Amino acid sequence: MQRASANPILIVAGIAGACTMAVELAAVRLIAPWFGTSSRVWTNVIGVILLALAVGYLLGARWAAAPRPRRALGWTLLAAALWTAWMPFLAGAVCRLFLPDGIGLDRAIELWTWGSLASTLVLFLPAAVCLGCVGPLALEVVQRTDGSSAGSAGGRVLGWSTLGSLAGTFVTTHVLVPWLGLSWTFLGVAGVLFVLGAALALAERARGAAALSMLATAAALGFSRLERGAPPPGVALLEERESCYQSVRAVEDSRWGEPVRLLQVNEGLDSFQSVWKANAGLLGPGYYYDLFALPAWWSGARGRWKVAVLGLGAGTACRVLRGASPEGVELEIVGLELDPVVTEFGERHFELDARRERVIAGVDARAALRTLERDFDLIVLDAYARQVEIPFHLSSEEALAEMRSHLAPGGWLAINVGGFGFDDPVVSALSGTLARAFGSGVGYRVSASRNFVLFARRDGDVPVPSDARFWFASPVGDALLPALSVPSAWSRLLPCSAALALCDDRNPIDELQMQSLEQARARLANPR
Amino acid sequence: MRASPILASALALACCTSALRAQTEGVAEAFADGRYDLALEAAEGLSDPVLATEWRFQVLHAAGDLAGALAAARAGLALAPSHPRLAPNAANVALTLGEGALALEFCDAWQAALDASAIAEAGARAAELERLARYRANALALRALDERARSATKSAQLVVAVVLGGTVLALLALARRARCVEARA
Repeated sequence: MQRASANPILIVAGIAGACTMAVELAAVRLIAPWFGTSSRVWTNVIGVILLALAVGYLLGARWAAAPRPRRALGWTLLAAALWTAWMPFLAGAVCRLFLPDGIGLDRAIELWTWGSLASTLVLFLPAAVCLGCVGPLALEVVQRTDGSSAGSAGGRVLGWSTLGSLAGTFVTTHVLVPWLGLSWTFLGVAGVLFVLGAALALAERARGAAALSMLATAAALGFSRLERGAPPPGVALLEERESCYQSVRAVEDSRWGEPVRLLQVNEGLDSFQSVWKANAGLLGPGYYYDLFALPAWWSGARGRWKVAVLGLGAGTACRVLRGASPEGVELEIVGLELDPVVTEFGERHFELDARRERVIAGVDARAALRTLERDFDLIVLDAYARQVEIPFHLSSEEALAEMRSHLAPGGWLAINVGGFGFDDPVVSALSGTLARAFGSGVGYRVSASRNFVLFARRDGDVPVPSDARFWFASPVGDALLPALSVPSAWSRLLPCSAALALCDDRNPIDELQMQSLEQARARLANPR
Repeated sequence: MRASPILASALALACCTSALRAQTEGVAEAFADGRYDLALEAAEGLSDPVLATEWRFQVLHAAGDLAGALAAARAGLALAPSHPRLAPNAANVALTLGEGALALEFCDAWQAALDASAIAEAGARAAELERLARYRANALALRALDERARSATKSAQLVVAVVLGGTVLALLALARRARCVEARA
């Protein structure tokens, strides 16, 4: 007697594998508007999905022993479809429950860990359990369909499922999320799971389950959308998009008089990646970009002044340098930015002139730096990963040494780093590493902010307030230098020991960042 | 970031003796010139410690060192709890730093200072009380935000304990059952 083909079930296993990866990868993005995409959030999501899959495998193994595993397979796919379809709708409500609106960065650290874990459990565990059931059920159906051995059936199901996961990984990151957006990615995945589940359920004459699930999934198509919440009164949303890397949005804040445009990514909180004011030049107290103008003044620059901005964002550094550099300086700016959507936003909302500046988008700063010239007068490192930390491969001693090799003699490196004091774990680790790479350097605290700008020079010293050359007469000097002159605003950078230096081999910058925020929160809780 | 000359003069006039006035003018001059480093040095040399902390607050606040300014205001308040300017200054900085509970403490000190002061002019007193009420409202809002954050953390921890615990128990039960079924087979 000729056995039926098990190929349709193998295809189901493959597609379910793709859907599992789509849900896992998009899950991080779905909660990113509240909790960001830090390594803690990734760990929570991956951990919960793995736990759910483990439960699903065992549950599937139990149901596989039932008389009609094909029917159970149909039901689990329908249940997964249903839950996945409503994820975008539920995400806002669940995440807001664990991260109330109005919480600032220094209060959010504990909630990033616990809130993201709780949200992940509530939002993604049920669907992932259902998807975990697919493997053992499919294996059982394959075995019963073509009479193959457990090893043969298992190998084929695992093979198809893993190939599906591989395809799901690439398609989700490069096609679904950037082109469809998050809501439609989840709805699309739910639609695919629904079609598979309904086909199996109908074949097993489970019409009621198919009809019910169709109604619920269809309702989700109409209503289930991710709502990040409207901006507060006085803040207008200019544009919002999902890129390959992050949720990006541009807002205009008119609450304090003069309109200010901010580029926010992922969680937003009270942080931003780029800023725009109507007039080019200094932005005022609280904005670290202003300090990038100082090296040209301190160097007495005339003529060409060549600048590389690693982490261009929407081009704020360019706009500040264009408006606040000494007269007679001809700026030549190269800007490197990983996320092309960010530079597109820059052109549309932040007056980034991509014809005047050499904008290189879609490239990693460290990799692209190697292709650039070696005569920069100033390199600005303003790259941030996961909103709050300098990427580990850009903060290592080796990376800083590479930046040094791209500077002209006497050239400057300026690094923006967030922190709460010179003794902050991130600030001190990066300061010590920078001093190792350059021999010396000076850090300046940015007035009325939680940012520091670390300066180092190739073959030269950075001036400090006790040096006459620190002071220069110009409106830029009048605006910036007094605040930098108080002893608590600056510190000479001393090389740290090799054991404490951040390097390519060992760079705990993300953990240091979490320590920094935890210390800040502890200070808030107990200011004495 | 240069200091307002009016503010500098007001502080300079606040001192009573001519020797102290001369010292204070030195601080005010450096401050007005944008030499905050020299202004701080000169402030350290003032013979009146309360005035010294007040100047220290003023300079650090203008320099954007809010934590330093707050510490200066607190040091001043420890010396002169009913000082008319230190408590409002400290409350203002605490609010900017987002420290609601601390800002409330300074609002209480401010209230006490107002009660003890002899501001005769009714309009000035009413304006101070209105400012105090505004600060207190902001401080209460910040403290409420802290409480919401704490409550959200507790909710999240509870959900994690229940769901994660339940899932792990289910996992163990399923694994045990699978073993029993195998043993029976």
